[in-house]
Amino acid sequence: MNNWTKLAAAIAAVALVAGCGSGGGAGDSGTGAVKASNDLVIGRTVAVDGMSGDSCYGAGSISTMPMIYGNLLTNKPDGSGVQAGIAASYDYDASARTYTFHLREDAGFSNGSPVTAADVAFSFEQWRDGKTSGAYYDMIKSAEATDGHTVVVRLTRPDTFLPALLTWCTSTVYPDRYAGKTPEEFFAEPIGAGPFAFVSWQNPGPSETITLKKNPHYYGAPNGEPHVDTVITKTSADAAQQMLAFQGGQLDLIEQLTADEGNQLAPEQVRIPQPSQARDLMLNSKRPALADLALRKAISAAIDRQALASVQQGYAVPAEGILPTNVPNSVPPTKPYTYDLAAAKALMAERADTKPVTLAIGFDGSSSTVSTMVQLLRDQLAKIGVEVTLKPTDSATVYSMGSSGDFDMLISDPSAISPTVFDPISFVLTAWYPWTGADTKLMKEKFTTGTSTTEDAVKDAAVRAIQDDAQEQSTVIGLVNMSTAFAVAGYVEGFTATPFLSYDAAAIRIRTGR
Amino acid sequence: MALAPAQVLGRRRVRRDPGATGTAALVTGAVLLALLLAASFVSGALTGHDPALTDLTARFRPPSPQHWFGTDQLGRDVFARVLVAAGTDLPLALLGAAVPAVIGIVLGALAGYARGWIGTAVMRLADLIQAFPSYILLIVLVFLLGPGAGSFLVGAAVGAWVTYARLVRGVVLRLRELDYVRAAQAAGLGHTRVLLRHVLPNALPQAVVYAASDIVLALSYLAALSYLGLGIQAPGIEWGQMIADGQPFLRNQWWVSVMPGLAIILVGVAVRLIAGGLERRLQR
Amino acid sequence: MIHSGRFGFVGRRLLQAIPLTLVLLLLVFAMLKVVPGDPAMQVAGPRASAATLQAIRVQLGLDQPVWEQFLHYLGRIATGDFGTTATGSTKVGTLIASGAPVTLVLLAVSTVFTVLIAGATALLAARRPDGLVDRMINVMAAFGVGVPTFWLGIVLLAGVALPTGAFPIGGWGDTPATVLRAAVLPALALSVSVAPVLMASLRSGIVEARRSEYHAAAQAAGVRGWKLTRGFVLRNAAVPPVSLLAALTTLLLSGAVVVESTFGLPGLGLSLTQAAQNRDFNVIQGLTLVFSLAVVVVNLVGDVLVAFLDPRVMV
Repeated sequence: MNNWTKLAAAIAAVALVAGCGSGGGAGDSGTGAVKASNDLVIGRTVAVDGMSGDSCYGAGSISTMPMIYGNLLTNKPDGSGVQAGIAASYDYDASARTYTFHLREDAGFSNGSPVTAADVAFSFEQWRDGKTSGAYYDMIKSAEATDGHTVVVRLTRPDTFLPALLTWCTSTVYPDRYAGKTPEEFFAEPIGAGPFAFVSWQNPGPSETITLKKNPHYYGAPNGEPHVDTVITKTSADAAQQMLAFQGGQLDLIEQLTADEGNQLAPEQVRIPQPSQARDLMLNSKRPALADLALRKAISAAIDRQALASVQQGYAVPAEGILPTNVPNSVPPTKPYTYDLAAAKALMAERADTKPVTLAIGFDGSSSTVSTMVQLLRDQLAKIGVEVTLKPTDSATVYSMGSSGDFDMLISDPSAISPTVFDPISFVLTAWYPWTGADTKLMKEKFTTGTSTTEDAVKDAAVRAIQDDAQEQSTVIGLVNMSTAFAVAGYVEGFTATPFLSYDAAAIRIRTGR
Repeated sequence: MALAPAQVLGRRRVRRDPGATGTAALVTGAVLLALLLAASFVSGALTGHDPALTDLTARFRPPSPQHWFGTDQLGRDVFARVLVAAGTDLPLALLGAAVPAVIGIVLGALAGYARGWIGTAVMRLADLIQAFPSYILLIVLVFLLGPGAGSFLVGAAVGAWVTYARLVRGVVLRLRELDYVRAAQAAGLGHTRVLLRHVLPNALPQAVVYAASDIVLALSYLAALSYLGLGIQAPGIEWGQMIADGQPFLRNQWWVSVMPGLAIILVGVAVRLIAGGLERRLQR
Repeated sequence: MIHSGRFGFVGRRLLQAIPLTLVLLLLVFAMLKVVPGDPAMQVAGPRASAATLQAIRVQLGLDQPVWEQFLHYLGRIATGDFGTTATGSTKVGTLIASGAPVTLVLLAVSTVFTVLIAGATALLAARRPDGLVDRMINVMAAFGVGVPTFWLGIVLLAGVALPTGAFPIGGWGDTPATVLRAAVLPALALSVSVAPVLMASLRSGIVEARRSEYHAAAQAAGVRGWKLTRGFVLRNAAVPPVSLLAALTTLLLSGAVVVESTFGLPGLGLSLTQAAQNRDFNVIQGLTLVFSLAVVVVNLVGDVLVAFLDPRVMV
């Protein structure tokens, strides 16, 4: 018994030391100047929506799809417009309603076959016929390969939206007839013309790992692109834990960094693009109290947007209108929002009905920045006698509350994923305006005007009219514009964050000390 | 809560004067809990800070004489919030243990007396419930009912009554064979009175000990649910939720999430003292 | 005792388990019908048209009568088809198959830690009941039960994994060595809350054993009477170690759900919490089934073991 006891004591001591030795000890951030391997390990919180472009919707796919498939056109890193991708150039003929795309001759799929016009024509058909995202491509009548590297796309109506659309994660270039495979087989092991080739997709879902390796047939290969050998993307719902992994040198890059997380890092580890994600408040004008324009305007005037933005110091700016800023053709309304408590109180006094107001606000409770913002809104609106009750829920329920009209107020983010402000406008027009009971006439008209012209001045005027109209109706109210930032380790070079959630992974280098 | 920790924890035999040490532990634990609960009601006056007041000019202040536990990302006083959260956590943890205990005792007595199909039904239901690990049952129920205190209580009650039902049923089955209970029944005493006079006094001590340790379990489940965003939601203030809110700032502003964690541990120790004390007294 | 009786007992326990599982399924299925939120909307995303939504409802079978959906569901379960996740990207069966090994490894390592910690501390504590060491261990056990597992996990990540660099900060491995390394801290966090339960049981078992030796010796020495027998007669029946193990397994399973979330381990528990957060009902259904079946099996195995070990259990 005595020997046993001694052994037991020894084991217990080890176990307890292991269990209790967790105190303090803040080590170095661990991001040294060089990395041993030429692998890029990315952390993100949002899983991909699948491997097909058609299913692409969320931030995970927006970043991964272009790495695998490549796009005909890509975003300029500064977000000012589109640039060449697999298509070296394109012509738009407004009168003939055709686009002609001239493809590069050196682009190749990861299986070694070159990218031809037939592949691109096939891809156009897949996009248009897609069951989830096909509606975006309904301006496409036909796509035809006129020679080995020229594709002519005929349109059903004048359209200047297509080039931006081609940068989207839904515009994924496939080999003709899926290289002889069924769609199921193909998307289980996709073949693309992007900088990286698909290797594996483990534990698909919220904690998935996607592994890609260098595509030797990528059109940038002669310039040494992509520079890294392997890209490993690790998804985890827990942003705080990813922060620790980054600080411990186990991640090289974090996508969609929020202010809360970024402020825990050294400034040189954080890349903050221009704020281009709007966050808006919807007011349901079909509700009796909110049917009164005076109340809606009072709410807008009582919101201290500066304070809302200050909680995300450096990552958010106060909104001037309902649309995201720093997107081509995004112009502010004639009179940007101002915080005016006196005016808000005066508007409250003008209300036809003087009963006290209690409004529920629905929002995605899983987002810490939204939760924080909503608590501030509650405090701000209390100052004009509007009592706000919080209804945290998940994003799916927010949308079903919106579409069924079962809400007083909702928080949501219309973000641009391509360099045109008509991207978020299409979203507001088809979803939010009908949900909030807004009058869609002007927006519909200006949207058509804006997407059928090539003149910037005409587009700008249309957008300004939309912003002014939104302010006049006040069923959708802008709160802040936010940046979607990145955390980047010190040994990562050549990374440029675009405002559209995506970035050029081919340009990234890792300093390996070799 | 298939197995209450106190069921096996702290089965102590003390050679000398078990009552005295038991009472000391019991009183210490009870006073700790009572103080915490009392402080939750007057947290504003006690700390000089409104736990809900946001002050964007005072974000992330480290612990200081002015803010004992520092301030959080909205400049709210963490000490005031930890105290006011006790007013959410403690009653819910107590209810989360008491409600299933009452349900279990009633159902167990029912199952013991009504040995026909009612008894069978109750015990089959108990089997059904026990097929779920309790926390998983809780998550599924919260998924169905939506996040919130009500869902938590329902989930806790559905999962934890079984232990009590089995205990009470066992006592009933044993007692009803005893001569004096038969005599009492023969003498015309009703089921209810037999239950109150003979069954409950026999089952209660063990049930109380179970319940005491179930408080800790209920608290840790509530905190874990809220931590995952499935429990108490803002503007409600709860320890698990505070830990989740503070987690992004763990490295540089550790106090935001560490302080509520310490509060949970404090309650765990206090309840453990109570459970241990009770057990000793009851064994006297 | 004849063995057919025992096999009969096993058979009866098995038969009891089947309707149990069916009722579980029916309950979960029926309740999922009343939850808020439109699953089709979740699949399609906010930009989908009404036609797309309708197509997805048909695809998910949401347009059929409820009882048909249930029968259909049972049929699919029987063939091992749990449906796909809400986004449609993955089969729930695949999710379960990839998550189960993670959870099993976590449970196995936790069990080893739990037994080691509990065994060692119980031996130490039982050496001198109510001595200083016993009291200290008792206090630590109270901390162990009281400390929230997820909070301990966070502290271990920030306080051990980050400064030492010896363990991955969240996530799982892909070789046996990296898997074990990834499992150490989560298993430790889990064991800290479960070990005290086992420890207390073992400790009192050891103390009881000592005491009965003492009892016999005392009796031989001529000490008898009420005082001696009271401890024997009124003694609570010790929890049989095997049933305790079954109970511990369910405790560990509950804890694993929390720990997997804290450490981002791609196991069944993480899938469950994420499905609850994302309102992914196929995943909830599949995992509920897997977890409840696991408990049914563990209890079954526990009961069967007891039946074979202990001739008194012959219901």
